[in-house]
Amino acid sequence: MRTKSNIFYQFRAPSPRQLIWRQFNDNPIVVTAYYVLAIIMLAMLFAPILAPYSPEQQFNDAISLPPAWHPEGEMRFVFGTDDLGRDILSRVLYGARYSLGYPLLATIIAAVIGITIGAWAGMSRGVQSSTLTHFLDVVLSIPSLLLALVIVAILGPTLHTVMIAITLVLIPQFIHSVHNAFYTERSKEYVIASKLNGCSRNYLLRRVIFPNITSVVVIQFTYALSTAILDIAALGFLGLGVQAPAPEWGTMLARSMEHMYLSPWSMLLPGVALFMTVLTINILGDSLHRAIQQQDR
Amino acid sequence: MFRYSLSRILLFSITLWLLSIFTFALNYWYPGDPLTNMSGVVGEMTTAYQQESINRAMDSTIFRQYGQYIAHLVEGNWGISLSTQEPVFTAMRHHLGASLELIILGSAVAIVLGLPLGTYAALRQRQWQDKLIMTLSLSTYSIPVFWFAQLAILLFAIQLGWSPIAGQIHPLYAIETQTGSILLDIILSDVDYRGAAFINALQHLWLPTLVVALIPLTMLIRMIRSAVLDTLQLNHIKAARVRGLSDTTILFKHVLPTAIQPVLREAGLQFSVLVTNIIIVEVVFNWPGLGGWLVKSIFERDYPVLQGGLLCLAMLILVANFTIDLLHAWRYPQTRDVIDAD
Amino acid sequence: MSIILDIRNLTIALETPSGLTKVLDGFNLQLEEGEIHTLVGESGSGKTLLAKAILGFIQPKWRITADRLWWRQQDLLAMDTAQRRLITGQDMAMIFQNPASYLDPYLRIGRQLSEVIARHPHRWRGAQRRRQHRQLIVELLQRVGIDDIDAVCNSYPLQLSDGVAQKISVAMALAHRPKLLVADEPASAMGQYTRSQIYEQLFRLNTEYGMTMLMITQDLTTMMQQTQRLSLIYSGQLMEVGPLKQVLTEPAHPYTDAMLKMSFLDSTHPPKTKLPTLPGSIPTSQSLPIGCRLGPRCPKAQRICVQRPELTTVQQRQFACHFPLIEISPHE
Repeated sequence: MRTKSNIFYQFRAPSPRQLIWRQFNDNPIVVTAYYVLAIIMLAMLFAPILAPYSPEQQFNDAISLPPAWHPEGEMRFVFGTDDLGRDILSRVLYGARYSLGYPLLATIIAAVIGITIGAWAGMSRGVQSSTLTHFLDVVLSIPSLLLALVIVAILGPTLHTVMIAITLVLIPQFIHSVHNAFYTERSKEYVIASKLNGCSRNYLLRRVIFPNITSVVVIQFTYALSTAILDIAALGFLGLGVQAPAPEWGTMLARSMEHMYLSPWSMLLPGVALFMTVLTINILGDSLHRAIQQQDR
Repeated sequence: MFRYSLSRILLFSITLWLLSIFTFALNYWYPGDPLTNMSGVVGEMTTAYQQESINRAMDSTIFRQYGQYIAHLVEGNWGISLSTQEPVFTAMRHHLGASLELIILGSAVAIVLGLPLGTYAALRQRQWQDKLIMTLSLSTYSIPVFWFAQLAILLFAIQLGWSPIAGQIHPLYAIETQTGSILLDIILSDVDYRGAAFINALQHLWLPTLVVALIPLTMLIRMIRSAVLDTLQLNHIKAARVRGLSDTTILFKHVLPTAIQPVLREAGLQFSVLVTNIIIVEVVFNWPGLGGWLVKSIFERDYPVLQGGLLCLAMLILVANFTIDLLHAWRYPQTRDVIDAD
Repeated sequence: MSIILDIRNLTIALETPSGLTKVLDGFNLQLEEGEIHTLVGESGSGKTLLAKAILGFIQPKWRITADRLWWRQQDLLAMDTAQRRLITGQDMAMIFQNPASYLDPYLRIGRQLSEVIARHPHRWRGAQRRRQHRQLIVELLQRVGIDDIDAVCNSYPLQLSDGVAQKISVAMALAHRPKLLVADEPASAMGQYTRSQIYEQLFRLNTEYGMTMLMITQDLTTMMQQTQRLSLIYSGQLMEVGPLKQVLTEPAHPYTDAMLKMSFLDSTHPPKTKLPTLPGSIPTSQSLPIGCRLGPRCPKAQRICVQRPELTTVQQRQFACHFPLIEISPHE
């Protein structure tokens, strides 16, 4: 008997990725965040072209100059200068490397290491797995900044040690979330079905489970990135991170703190830059999270 | 519950043990002489140093050294500060009091404001009130706390003059430090200008408290909102509606108790975020707490102090996590088995 | 007999990304006081939605329209939420598919039961109130066949088996003596023994209190002996209504006929031959046929079936088909 079902218009449900994309595009705030982040990234890459001056160039005739819209401001320094007569805009543009580029690098390294260990741990059972879980619980309950502080105290405050500290601090977070995702995914029916089909452990890990935890990894990545940015900036702010005269945003803020009475504007641009970067990353991560949650419903 | 508590206590002691090994190992990793890093006694040739070396069994095996280290910790002999020559343990108690004051007040503000705001946002889902609360909380959540502290000082202390810039109390009010918590100290002291001192302390206190509370507050709002929304979708809430219960009854007797559960489970994480902020806020406001003390000790390479601060903060977090765990298991008994199974 | 629930031309449309979908299309239902009415339909045919609409579980994305949605001559659609909830709370109760999820996971069973009992018509105060509550709980639980009352009262929903949880929801439904009980596949996930126990308790409520019941089920065979009338629903449209015996022995609608032949009620089916089934499958909610939704699968369908057939009444029976299987006398 021929079935008549093929005369119906076949409705094709959109794939998960399409759904997420749709949800993304629906929300104007998310689209804005997406573009703002892209602009910040571009500004970071092309800082030498965009910046009007070198970040270390000191103008002795223009010390602590207010921004251009202020009556005393000058057009050549749009956002004013700091107490050594350096152009704030140029410093912030160059500073994006320290405050966004290095955290990005640290997060990528931490992600690669963390995901590998997490996946391995997620596939193992018994004592091995539970020891790791409890150990991670302990490490994670200690704030990342505190751990980073201890590492800096051992190795001394330089750019390298800050990078090492931040990477080390982020790894447990990745291990934890990937491990948990693997753990819940592993006992689901579809994995059992593949196991019964005789798939190898390696195949299970890469082809069966991993595609299903991509969302967890992506969310964790955005979360880790914003933590890394804030932690590097916080270390810089405390004077234990990237050392002056590097135009790191946290260090710039710490410097502006000393001149709060005289030139309050010097904390404007670095703060806004930091805030916008973290905000856009958070918005993207948040909406991704929500899109994935919506799918599960 | 008894079995559960026992297993948690066991886990807690193992954690403390790991922590002690970690801090013990740090003494060897820090630059300089391990014994000096541990005890704060300087000068290899002095008799005090020799004496301390015998006390801490520095010539013996590493295990005996560890044993002596633990014994000293338990006795409250945490070494002396390299910069001030003060015993670390007594200094730590005062700093702990000051930090706890901020932590407790900050979390209280976060909970008192966060719970109703989060619930309100959930009940007004997708309406403008919800959108306003959520936009505000997402943006404040992304503000770096040190920048926010600076802005707050700039606005409230410098422009408006509602609050002093930094410190715990005006130095003219000579209040003897007993607990470290300024409000308690004023109450305990027997000076006759207590009222004025109290008001002055409050003026110093409110701004850092608000700054500390801000980030836990926004996280709490978001967590409560999503937990309440999830709970409202659950079948038993719908069933309660069909049974004709009023919205208020359902909210207070069914929705909130269920919604608090996931929030309470995450509260440990919130606490460590709070501690991170405490460290920075104390530096910005020059607050004599653990965080500022710790950061200063890193600058001064004052390792006994660094170790004391680290131990104290880590233990504070672990104790808070432990308490939250027990509270969670006590309030939501059916989650015990699940946690045990892990 | 008076009609207790009167539904005429009820349509529920859902807002979906691809526009409005009528998941329930012009549905009619009249429940007589004290009857047991069974509503049969395949999964996704809108049965549960109907039950939810009656009880007022309404989601913001639903668009509900009806010529009538009357409960004892009161228009339910015209009421505000509070009023409606009052009426549903007093007069109706519902029993669900997976009972454990309809109990608050963080309250002991005893407390949940006393919350329901607190709304019992009797009003007691103080210590007496507690004693009376306790006694009522014992009575209720005994009635639904739970012996170990203390143990059950002290446990949380997760600790109970599905059978016990369903008995408890029966007890909760019973507590305030509703006039109407809607049971949405109350035992679908349970074994045969528990299932019979639960049905037995439900039917006892009907005989003892004259409680009107709307039973919702997927398959024809489950609740046959006790049912007085039967409604068949396909893809959101009412196919046929009538007294059980007549519908079963002499189906008027091709759908009923097909359902009967597919089920094992039909003993005339010769062994070792193909089980007769309808061609095709249930249309998805995105591609609903116009007119009679059975159209593309119906063995008797003709061109006119793209227009919606009117609901025809013949004596006690009603059906919506252009080509019914029974004779309609011309004067009807």
